[in-house]
Formats: sequence, C-alpha cells, structure tokens
Amino acid sequence: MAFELVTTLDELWEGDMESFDVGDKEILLIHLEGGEVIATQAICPHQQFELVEGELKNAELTCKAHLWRFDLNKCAGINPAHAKLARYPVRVDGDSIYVDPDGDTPKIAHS
Amino acid sequence: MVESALTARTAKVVTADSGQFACAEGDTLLRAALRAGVAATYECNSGGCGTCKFTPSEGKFEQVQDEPNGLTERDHRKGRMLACQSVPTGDCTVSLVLDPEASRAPTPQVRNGVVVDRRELTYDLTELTVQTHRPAPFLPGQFAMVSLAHKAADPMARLKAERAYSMSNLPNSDGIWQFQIKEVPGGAVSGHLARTATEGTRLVLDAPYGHAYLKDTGRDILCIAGGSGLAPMVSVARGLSERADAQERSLLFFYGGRAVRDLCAEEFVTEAADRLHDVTLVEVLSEAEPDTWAGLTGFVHEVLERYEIPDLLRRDIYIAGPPAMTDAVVRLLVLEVQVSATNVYYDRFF
Repeated sequence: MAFELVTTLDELWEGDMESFDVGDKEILLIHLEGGEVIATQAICPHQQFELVEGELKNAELTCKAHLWRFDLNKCAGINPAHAKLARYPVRVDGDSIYVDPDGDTPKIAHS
Repeated sequence: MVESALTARTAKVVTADSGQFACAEGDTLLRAALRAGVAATYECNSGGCGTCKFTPSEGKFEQVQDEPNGLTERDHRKGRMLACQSVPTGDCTVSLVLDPEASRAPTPQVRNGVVVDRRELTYDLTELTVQTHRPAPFLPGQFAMVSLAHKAADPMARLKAERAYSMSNLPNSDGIWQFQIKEVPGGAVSGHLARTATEGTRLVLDAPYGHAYLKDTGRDILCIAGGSGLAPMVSVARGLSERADAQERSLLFFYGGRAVRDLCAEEFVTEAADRLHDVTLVEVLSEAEPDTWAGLTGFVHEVLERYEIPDLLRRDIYIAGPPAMTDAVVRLLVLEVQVSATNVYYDRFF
C-alpha cells in the first residue's frame, strides 16, 4: 500500500471531478455531493475516452462518447450493467486527498 | 500504382505489450495495425471520433489533418495522437489500445476500382457501382475510404483526399462495391464524386472499416437511417434477408429526410421483405409541406419517441446518419428509453 498525495479538498470541490497521473495510473477523482471522494480509472472501460469529459449528476457519471453510465458509489455500470470501474483506496487527511494507485487496476469492458 | 507504392518501404512499429508489426511507407498507424491483424480500437477512421487515441513513446509521425476534431485540449496536453491521422516517418514505439473483442471483419486493403454504373436515387443522392479486380469482402454496414485516383498520386495525397462511404450492397466475389454519394455543397470529395463520377471514373478504395456491422445475435432489428446513412442500413437489411434464419427475423426501418424529394428507401426495404418474417418502413420528414406529405413529420428521434415499439428493448438497433441525428437518437434510446448500450450499433463520425 502506497498512498500518494494527489490534491486537496480546496482544489476539488463537491460536485467536481478531475483526472490525475498517480504512480503509473491515470486516475479520476470525484468529490461527490455529500462529501465522499471516489478514485476510479480516468479512461472509460469501453473505449479510449476520458471520463472527466462526461456528465456528472450526483453519483451518476455518463461517458461523453457512447453514453455508458456508471454508479460511482458502486463503481459499476448502470447501462450496460456488466461494466465495472476500478476503485482505488482514498484517504482524506485534513484538506489533503491521498490515493493508493496500486489498490486496483483499470477495468476493460467489451461492448 | 498506389498498391505498389504502399509496399515500397516499411517502418517497424513496436507496441507497449512488446508486439510488433510492419507499417508500409505512407500508411497510417491505425491502418497498418488493422492490416497486420492487430485489433486497435477505432470507429470513424477519419479523425472525428477520437476512439483511436494512442500515446507515442518513440518515433515521429506526419499528420493527415493538423487539427482533427477527435483530439481535445486535454489530449494535446497529454501528448496523445490519433492513430488514424498519424503516419510513422520511421520505426516507432507506441502504446496502442486493443479492442477486447476480436472483430470478424476482413482486414482492410487498398484496391483500384472503376465506376461501372451511376444511378440517381434522389435529386442529391447518387448510387455509384464500382468494380475492382479482386473480390469485395466486407460485413454489411461497413465502410470504405474512397478517393479519386487522379488525386491519389502519393499515399499522403490519397489520405488527405479520401472520404468514408458505406457500402449499400453485400460482400461478393465479383468485386462489386455500391455507394450512395450525397452532394454536399463545398464537400471536396462528395461534391466532386456526386457531380462528376461517371462510367469509367477511376477510384481508389481502402476497405473495409467500421464496427457497426450486422451482428450474429438472432434478435429482431431496428434500423434508423438519415441522409446518406441510408447506404449502410440498406446493407444491414440486405444482409439480414440473406441469413439462414431470415424467415424468423423482423425488420423495422426508419428513414428520416427533409422533404418528399428525399424519399428513396422504399425500393431497398421492400426488396428484403419477401425473405424476412416481417418488414415495416417508417418514413419521417422534417420539413415537408403539409399538402405534399400525409405521413409522419418531425425529426426521427421525435417520431421514434412517440412510436410504440413493444419489443424495443429486445431488438438490435443500427443507426447511421448525420451526427446531429445519430446523437439525438442514441441519447433518446440509451439515456431515456434505457435500451442496453450494448444493443445499439453505430460508428461515430463526430
């Protein structure tokens, strides 16, 4: 387990998301309404699109490219349901957000 | 001439997973991968969709278009490029993303062809029949990159001059390729092809490409076509009607146009009707004068929303048309009706 400092709550407000390079991974951080911070893969498991360019509504993230939709609470697909997202461990310490990039691997889904 | 030019010199492409393949001089990274049987991800092969992004780690690339729509500001910052727009100038090392699903599609090849027939389908839509020496292997719904032979003096000139056109016929061993070319005002290739291609015009085809081809699922089908998206949907309908289980398959075919003078789908859809269990054509016009049209009016997605399709969630859905139409239809189906995103097939050109 190697947590790395990625950003701060001051930079990533509630309802915001941003992608970062952490270790050898591209990771998307989402600060959900209500306060929870989720770390998942930056690239859609379907094809080569940055999820950060999609639409975030509460805990629902819709990829811009083919409208694949994910429930960030579960890091799982809503449509299609078989899709999965990686979930990296997050630790919030004061204002600082730490992520362990070795805690998971990016998922790939067939269409 | 073009075929031999492609085999002159090759660059070695090494991929992040230590695989490697040869790239003929002047070929794009994407096409070289596909020709070598490497299933790199892509959709439009025209710089628009952004599906073929890759990260180069060594080597130099010449770009077909300087500012392709498929790259965002973020991609530029991260040094990503489009494999369909990047021509290696020598050996290179790249990180390509592979499609987890192996494609059944034949590998693309460059062919010289000649126009053998020209038929006006509407005032601005022309069917061209092209003959090549070698067979025409593709899957119903796929497309070809087409250029005028005299504009394809060298590989880069060909890449810059060509446009994607879907085949409307079925694969065959006679080397026959049919396209439907819409006259686009100002469109260099489309306008020129639609106006001037006649019997004897020499073309270069690089084909086949595309993933929105007829699948082997056994489900009934909904085709939604608009404008020049008619061609691939006609091919899908024809392909369905040639299947062994055609007698058990139903086809619902939506065609959207502006006015009565755009209507031309009927001959193709009725052609498939005898062999299928059930065929329905729904024509929708967005700008028809009431005294000229008694049928459905509006945009295709608006009519689709009102149209009762009881088994919609169980159908395979194929879509081809102008980007605005495709986008509106996919949003309706996937986000509102909640059709499974994996039952909807289209190649994004935007």
